[in-house]
Amino acid sequence: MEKVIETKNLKKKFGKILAVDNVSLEIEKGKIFGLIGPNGGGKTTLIRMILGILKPTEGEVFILGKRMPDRKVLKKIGYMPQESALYENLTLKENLFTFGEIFGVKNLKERMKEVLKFVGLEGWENEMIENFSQGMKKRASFSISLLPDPEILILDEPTVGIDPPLMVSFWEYFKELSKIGKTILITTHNLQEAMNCQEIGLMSKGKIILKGNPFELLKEHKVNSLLDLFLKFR
Amino acid sequence: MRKVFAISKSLILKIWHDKRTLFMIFFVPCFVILVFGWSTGDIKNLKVFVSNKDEGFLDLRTGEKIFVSKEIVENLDKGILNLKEEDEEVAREKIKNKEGFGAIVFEKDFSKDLILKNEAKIKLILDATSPSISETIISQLRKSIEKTMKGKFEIEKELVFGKEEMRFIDFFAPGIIATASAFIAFMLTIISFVKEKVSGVYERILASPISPFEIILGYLIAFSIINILQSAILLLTATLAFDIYLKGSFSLALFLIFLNGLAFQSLAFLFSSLAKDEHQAAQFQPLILIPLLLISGIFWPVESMPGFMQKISKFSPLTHSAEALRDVVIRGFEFSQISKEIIFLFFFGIFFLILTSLFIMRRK
Repeated sequence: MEKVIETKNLKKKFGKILAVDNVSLEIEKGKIFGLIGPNGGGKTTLIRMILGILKPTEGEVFILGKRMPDRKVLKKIGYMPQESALYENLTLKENLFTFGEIFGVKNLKERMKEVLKFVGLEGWENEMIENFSQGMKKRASFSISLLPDPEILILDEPTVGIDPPLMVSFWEYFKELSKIGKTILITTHNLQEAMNCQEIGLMSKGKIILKGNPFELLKEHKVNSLLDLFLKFR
Repeated sequence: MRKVFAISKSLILKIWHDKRTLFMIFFVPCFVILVFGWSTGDIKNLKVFVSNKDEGFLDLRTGEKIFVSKEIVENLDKGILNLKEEDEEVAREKIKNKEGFGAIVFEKDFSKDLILKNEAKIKLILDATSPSISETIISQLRKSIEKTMKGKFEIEKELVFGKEEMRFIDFFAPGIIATASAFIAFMLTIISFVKEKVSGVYERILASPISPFEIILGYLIAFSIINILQSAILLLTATLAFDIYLKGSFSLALFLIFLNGLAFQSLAFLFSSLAKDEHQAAQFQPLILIPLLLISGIFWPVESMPGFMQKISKFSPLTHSAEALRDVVIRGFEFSQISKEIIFLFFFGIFFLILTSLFIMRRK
């Protein structure tokens, strides 16, 4: 299989704190890879290094075979940061338009309609983001990351702070996207929803302590849930 | 009462834990007062020319020539006025080029008229841009005359720049306009930049195929449009509401205010990369803007500041923009005459933009 995201011995130090410790990952095309672990475990730091926003202390990142940071590669990545990352006092349409232009999206108007339909925000185009609910903001943020029709989606805690029905529909979106060959890297500290991933990496104190298919991991270590697994290896 | 103290205690503890705010509360006021104290002083060392054409008066009793003009010059306070002998024409040209603030001219019959008719005329060529400077020169001259001898002296003023009865508002307006545009450009930039950092928009932009330089350029264009509109409103309000003295070109003044805004925007970019949130961003106002305001010759002339502060003042973009704006508004200078200030402001802006771009890139 084609390796889409690859990190080699990634390390990041903030002063004396080792936020990411020697992480080597390979994520194949079309996979949903879940980076699982507690808050402060180094997930966001790892993601920021993968995107090339943060300079690693040591190690390398390759995306689609290109060494990061590479601005051209960023065109093929839809990134959804942890915060809503929207212009609060712009309308949804204006937000989409801004990022669409930045990413050089072709047929922007049509693409905007497509992604809004996909996330179920049709009819809200002219509403200010500040009037949106938390869940709507998450959907709007997701729609922006879909805008350039990226090959890779990097989603940092996309389901945090949203209600269960929306979480379910989010996972439906992810699976749908994975089916058409999109590679998805997702972080979450919700161990239950992590079972939806095809592969997970359990991250704690900057290290990936376990890696593999979630169901196989449970079987292999004879535990009932990822929580038990996590407690066992913590 | 316990409840009340609980509230008070939590507030004080909050400040105590936030070392940055603590620093702002105690250090910044001291700093501002110190800058204020260091930058104020008496006006001194004003460059004034003396053009003495006085042929003197022959005292028949002693056979010696009397030069009252020389005595007057002798009695001038050399600490306040930095005198230099110069031909009248040359002096006038030099004043036009801002190489001096004034010239005291004694005509050839000065001593003769004074002794025979008990009245004489002194010509004072003056750059009347700053009322405080021109008043200092006039009062120093008067003082010295009184000290020298009694008589009817007429000081005939010839104004190279400015006008008779130059009001303080006429002098202050250009500096205040520059200050207003600088403050607004700085705060607008820093607050919106930091706001996007907090909301995560900036993070998303960083992870997009746009370069740091393009990001900054985008900001710059948007804020420059606002800056130009705002500058025009400022200038128009000042001229229409207070009828300020506007001698030079309106559009050149506008261009200067725009450049000044550019310099402060780029300064703001650098500082916004140091601020975590809007709160911290707002704290830069007393730390950066107020000291700059104090040392930039807005309220008192740079010439009145102690030597070391004058040197520091040269690095403030506001010093250059305020002076250039006065040059245009009051002195009626043209583009070529303020090119030095324009170049300074331009490169100041470029320097900080590049610095910020590098800063953003290094973090990546």
